[in-house]
Amino acid sequence: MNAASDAVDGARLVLMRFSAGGVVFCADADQIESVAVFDRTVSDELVWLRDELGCAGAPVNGSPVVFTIKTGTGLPYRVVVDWMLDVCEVAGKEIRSFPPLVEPFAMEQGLWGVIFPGGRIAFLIDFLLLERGKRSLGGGEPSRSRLFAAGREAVSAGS
Amino acid sequence: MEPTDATLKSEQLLEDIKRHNSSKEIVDVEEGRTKVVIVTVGGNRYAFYGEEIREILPACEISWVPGLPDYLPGLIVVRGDIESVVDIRQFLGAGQETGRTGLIALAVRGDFRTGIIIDSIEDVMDLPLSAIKPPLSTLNGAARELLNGEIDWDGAVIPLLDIEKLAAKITL
Repeated sequence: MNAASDAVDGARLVLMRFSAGGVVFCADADQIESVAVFDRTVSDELVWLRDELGCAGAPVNGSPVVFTIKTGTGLPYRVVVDWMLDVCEVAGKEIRSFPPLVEPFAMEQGLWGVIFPGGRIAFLIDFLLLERGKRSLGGGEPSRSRLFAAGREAVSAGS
Repeated sequence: MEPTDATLKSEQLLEDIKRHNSSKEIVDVEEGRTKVVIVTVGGNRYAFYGEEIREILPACEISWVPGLPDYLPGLIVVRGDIESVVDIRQFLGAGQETGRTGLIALAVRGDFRTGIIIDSIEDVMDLPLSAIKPPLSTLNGAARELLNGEIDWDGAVIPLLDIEKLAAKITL
């Protein structure tokens, strides 16, 4: 056993498990400041995760919620997900990294690991990594207003 | 008759025979053999080196991952490990797969490791290395990039795919 193995074995993460675009994701609860029910009358700029990750075509199953992400910069970063599933705790040794072929693409989407409780795959997402990846790809601030409009249309179509 | 130290004709002949047999044996040993796995992909037959195909997995759910290129349909779980899955049909000039119900060949070459979607497995056989011929120059470019050679099987010429070339093509 080396130091890295010890660190992985000892690590435990509390994860928010949710779905977006028919895919199950988990985010470290430490990264999320608050969770609120999505209010379609709220005009704040919101990022719809389903649009951000290119899975906007899937119907919205559930009641969207808004995660307010801790950015440490004071800037608001609010992400809408399709459905909050549960909160769970996982040990570090239960987390797998992406295979080398997939990892570079996954990291650009803020995805850094995989768990498969009960045999069903869930992707670990780091919202700040996602934001960084999108900025590097897009060359600047993503168009939040456009994403908000697209996500709202998906909710309207699904309801 | 006086004894002579000169080599007798019989001795020389026997020596030649032994040398010939010995060299023949060496040739036989050097004629290596390799195992190949013949599969169908996109309705066409292809072969892989057997040593590069670790196992053939039954059809299973492939989990889509956001942001992957078309040739990477997603991930599968194999006995607690996560494996990537590659759809090589577009590299071979075949149509994109639709149902994703085929088998998955788990390919390993050095550090490169991935599942490859195949339609079915046709045969596994031992071949002398000399049975592998260079690829025909008339093959189209997309498939040719992945070829190591060709083999004859069941009256047909089967392209032999090279996992190392596939790895070089798709590894970032």
